[in-house]
Amino acid sequence: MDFSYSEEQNKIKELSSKIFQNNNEHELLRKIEESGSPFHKKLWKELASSGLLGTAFNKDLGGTDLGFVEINIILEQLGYHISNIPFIQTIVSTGMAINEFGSQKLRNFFIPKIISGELILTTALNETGRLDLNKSDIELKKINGVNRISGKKYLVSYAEESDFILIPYKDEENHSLCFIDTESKGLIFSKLETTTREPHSLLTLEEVEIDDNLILCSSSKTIDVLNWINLRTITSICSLTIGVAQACLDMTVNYSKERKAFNRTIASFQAVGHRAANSFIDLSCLRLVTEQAISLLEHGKEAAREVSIAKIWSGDVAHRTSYTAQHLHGGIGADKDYALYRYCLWAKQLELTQGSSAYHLNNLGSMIRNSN
Amino acid sequence: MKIEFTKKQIQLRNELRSYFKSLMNNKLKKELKKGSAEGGGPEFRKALEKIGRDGWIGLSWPKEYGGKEATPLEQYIFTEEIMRSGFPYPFLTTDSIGPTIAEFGTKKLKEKLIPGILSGKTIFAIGYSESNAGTDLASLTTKATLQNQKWAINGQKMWTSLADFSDYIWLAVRTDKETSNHEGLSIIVVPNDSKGLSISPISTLGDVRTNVTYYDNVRVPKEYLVGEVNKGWKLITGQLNRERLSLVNNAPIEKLLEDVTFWAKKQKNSQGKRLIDEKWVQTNLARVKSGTEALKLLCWKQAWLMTEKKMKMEDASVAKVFGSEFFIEAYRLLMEVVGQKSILTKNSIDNVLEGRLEMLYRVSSVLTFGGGTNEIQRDIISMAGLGMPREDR
Repeated sequence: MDFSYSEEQNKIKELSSKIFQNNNEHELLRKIEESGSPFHKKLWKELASSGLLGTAFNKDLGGTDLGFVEINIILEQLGYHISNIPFIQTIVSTGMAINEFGSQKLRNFFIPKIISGELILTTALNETGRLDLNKSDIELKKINGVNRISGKKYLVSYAEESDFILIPYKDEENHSLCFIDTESKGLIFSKLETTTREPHSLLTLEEVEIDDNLILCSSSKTIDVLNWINLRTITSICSLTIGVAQACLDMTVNYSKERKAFNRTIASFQAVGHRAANSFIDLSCLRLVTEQAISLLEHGKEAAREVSIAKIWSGDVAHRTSYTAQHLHGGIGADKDYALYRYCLWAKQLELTQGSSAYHLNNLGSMIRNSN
Repeated sequence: MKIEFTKKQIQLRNELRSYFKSLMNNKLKKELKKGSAEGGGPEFRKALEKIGRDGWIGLSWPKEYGGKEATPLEQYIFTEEIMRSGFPYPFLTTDSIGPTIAEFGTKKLKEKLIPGILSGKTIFAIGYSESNAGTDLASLTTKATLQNQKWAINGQKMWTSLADFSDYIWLAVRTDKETSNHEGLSIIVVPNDSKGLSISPISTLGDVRTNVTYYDNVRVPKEYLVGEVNKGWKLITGQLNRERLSLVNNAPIEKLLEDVTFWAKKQKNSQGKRLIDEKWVQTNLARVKSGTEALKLLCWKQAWLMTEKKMKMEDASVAKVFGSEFFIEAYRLLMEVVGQKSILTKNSIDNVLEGRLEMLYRVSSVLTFGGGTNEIQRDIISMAGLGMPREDR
């Protein structure tokens, strides 16, 4: 039993915290938002030059060969200094999957360029009215001897900003996972506007050609690979949420110690202290259930239940901490000259990404039903 | 970071699980069911002495007392398994008062009390609360004065649980008449057979007997005072912190969830549909599961922090508040699953899981205020955990 970080892990925490903090100036983020730039490109470059984008990748490809624990340490720091970058999309949902399951050719093609920050990747897993990510309505058809896929994918984050998108589709027998070049013919992006302004698109595929060199997997194993990706993506969202919620709570505590009412700081009111204490308890629980999921995944153990439990807590705590922060701040919490609002937007978006608390309760309930 | 037990620890767990399974024989179960669920009967005494003989009481105790010096993590595994078995183990005696005596007691007192504690022959009751001193314990008025090398004790205590069968009472008294707060308090060990001590029962909603204890010029030897005179507050708060931990152990709720789940898989309606196939049943069970996991991890983390000697003041409070409020919610969710039959008592025919849920919901009202009320725990969290100032009292 060990809940602590190693010395190396603490160094990664410090380094990533420093980089995120240096790029988190409120005015800077405002400028990026107003410029119409879809994400914080300067921050992405700095992460690349610091080597952090290579954290989870093998040494022979230029990475530092660390693991999922370290990735989540970085993600929590990103949450604490939140801004738009495609970290989960490029590093976890696609990069780590290529590192684990890709052919040597695919790994050589993608990973060095992910580490250097040149390539942005994402996944297109969502379909409307469907939460089961392991199924897909994208159909494969052979037209004039060429494999082509058609269908619609919803809420694809960083679709237009990416170089390649990982898409699941099915042929007669199996599901497959393949990267599609975003320059491909037949790919239509319709821009969506999300609450955080993280770029998202509705993706329409009209007979888009499959490049056999870009297939990640195409056997009965595909479902396992999708599960592998899902569990890690969901856990990453939980880590990001911990950072976001911790920032909400810290801002709230600091503000309550300065703000006065009836000639005393509002922090000295028991009702205020107790509401903040509830967030502290919430965060303690969220941190632990997330750490358990990370630890199990890191050590290659079965973790489907534990990941769902982490996401249930993540959704609930994101929601509660955000509203507690808004409430205890009063009007300033809604003022766009003060950073809290950004965290609250993220709290809501993360709560509903990759399955809400209600969805995962249902999921966990099914697992309990099917257990021995 | 590795949040799992080692193979050796899992072995210990398996060993303890089968040990307690055979310990809880039918005679003992019957005795506990018949009334004294908190222990005290002859079968209970016999079992506790066996646990002592087999060396388990001393598991985490120092070698000089014959203990095995296991880490808090192993001690936690022991606690989990014994609570899972349903045996009313006297944690306050073995894991809270015992170690406090070992640390602060006089040589004579240690020689007199510790062998009995470790062999399962000695049980303590705690005499803290009074009718006007509960959460605000420092306002207590039961007093002790030194006369001819003996303490003369006068006053009255409320909620002195176990006093009807314990051997000693761990009593908080005022030894300095000039004070009315936490200064001037001391801890004195009072033998149950002392002259002038009388006990009258209070029967409670949860079928648990507790007591009022009266002290009418009770006299005990001078060396029965633990630690320094007028410096008892430190012992009281230290003891309460240990108590908070055993109050919210996750093992019983984990076992209850397993049992209700198993039960729900067997229930079929006239169309042959199982209760567990209902979505709302699955969701209720899932809610309990996700809370249980959080509580389990809070307990694991604390055991680990204690092993690493990194425990912080707010940690015990977080577990106490979350655990106590979660238990109440969990009992409700599980009673909903069982439905109207969950109100059948342990004595009723046709009851479910021996009427455990019906009993638990009645006991659970104690949880949020017992062992330090949750308001005070939240004060501690906002103060120690978040650095917020405390409201003037």
